[in-house]
Amino acid sequence: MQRTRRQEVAPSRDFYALKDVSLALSSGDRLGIVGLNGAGKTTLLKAIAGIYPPQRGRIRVSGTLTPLLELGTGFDPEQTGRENIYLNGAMFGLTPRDMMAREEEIIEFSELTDSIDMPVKYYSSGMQGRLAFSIAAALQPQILLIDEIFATGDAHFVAKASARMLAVIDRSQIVLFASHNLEQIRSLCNRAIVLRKGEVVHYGPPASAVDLYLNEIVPKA
Amino acid sequence: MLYDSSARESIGAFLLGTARELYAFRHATASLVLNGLRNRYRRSVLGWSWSLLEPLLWLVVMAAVFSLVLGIRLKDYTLFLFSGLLPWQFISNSLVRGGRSLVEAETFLKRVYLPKAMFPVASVCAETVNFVLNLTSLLILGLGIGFRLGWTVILLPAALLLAFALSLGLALALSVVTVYVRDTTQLVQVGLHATLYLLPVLYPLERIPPAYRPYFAANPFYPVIHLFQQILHARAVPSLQDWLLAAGISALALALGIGLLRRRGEDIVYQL
Repeated sequence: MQRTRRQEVAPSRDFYALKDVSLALSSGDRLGIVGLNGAGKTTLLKAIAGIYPPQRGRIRVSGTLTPLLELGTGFDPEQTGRENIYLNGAMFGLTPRDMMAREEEIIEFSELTDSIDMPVKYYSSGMQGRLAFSIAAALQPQILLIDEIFATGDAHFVAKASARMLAVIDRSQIVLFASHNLEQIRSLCNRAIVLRKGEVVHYGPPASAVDLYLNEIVPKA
Repeated sequence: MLYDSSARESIGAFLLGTARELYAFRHATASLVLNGLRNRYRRSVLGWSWSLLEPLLWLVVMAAVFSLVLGIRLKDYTLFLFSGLLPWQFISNSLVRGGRSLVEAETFLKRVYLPKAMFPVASVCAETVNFVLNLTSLLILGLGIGFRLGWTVILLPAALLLAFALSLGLALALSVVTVYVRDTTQLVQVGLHATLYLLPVLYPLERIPPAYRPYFAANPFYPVIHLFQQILHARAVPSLQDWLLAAGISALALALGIGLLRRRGEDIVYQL
């Protein structure tokens, strides 16, 4: 894939959020993506998920793919938590029957048993985050795209969610994982890229990518 | 799944691809339709009864006012009004809700890949369900107070199909335009309001001085709505010419909507 263009609001000139990125991943790969804010990590994941079609280039994906970006697909605030479980599931390509099988598990994991039939607009942001995470974690795609989603909420939920996420990652065949958490990149991934201003400046084992990122990209204090 | 920016899709391939995607996402589309219907009456005391009450109250007000102003026999006028106003409300609600649908879907479109057509399609489908509910319940009610209907009502599904195609085509087009020009929403609302008064729906075309009639009849919404008026009020079979005219306009609207979506579909997410 090369070049995803994103037009700025002031259309005086285009700038490229991603440029000349070429990647090929296959079963078993866990790719870490590191870079400063604005380097193009999220854009790369969104391009692969089909959300941002590239201006130039090709993307080929075979297998079921779930993008976990900004937590979930978003909610319809007027609908109840339970109705949103089905809506989100359908947007991830699952049938109502698939979701029925997962409904109880999702509600239980999110700890929202008492408020699941309340419109989502009355949820606190923590509750919304818990529901979104629980839905996402109940899907088991073949290809998983993660953008910093080691859950929000209190310490107890974050711990439980991280454990769940690691299990989901473990069962996925391909994982693309963008994060600022270099420890996780090092421990979860078998290869990594470093992005700078939309270009891949390094591609290799996670340890060397993290070193390069720390030494050459992160501004020195 | 394969995306290739250099591949140019033919219109046929685009249509087929869109139909396939809509089928693949049918559960999500159905969920949107259901939510759209549920949201309308959620937490109101009378709930679903409003789908009957709302047009009924509208009709009572309109019938009372206009039968006084125009001095037409009330019962006949009410049926006339009902036969034109309900399809008009269907079309106009579809354009308003469908037109906003893509802009309102921003949170979804930025987080997961979804076919863009899904949102206007879901809006128009929800309006269709509502329209059919209104039509059925008012017909039953009307029979109670002595409306006389002809066997021509069996032609209703065909008229409904054309009204659906017209609404869908325009809703698709407006949903894409609204992404680029947000003011479209307000312009459409004002435009629809003005159109209602220009349409021979509140008053029969015969009330207009003959010299001006062609201008009123030239309203692009009129042919489809006139089908309903003929079927329900005049108890007449619309002529072949009437059907073809309405079908032609609906086909044009669909072509416009599909063409805009094909041309701009991939750029939309960048503009939200």
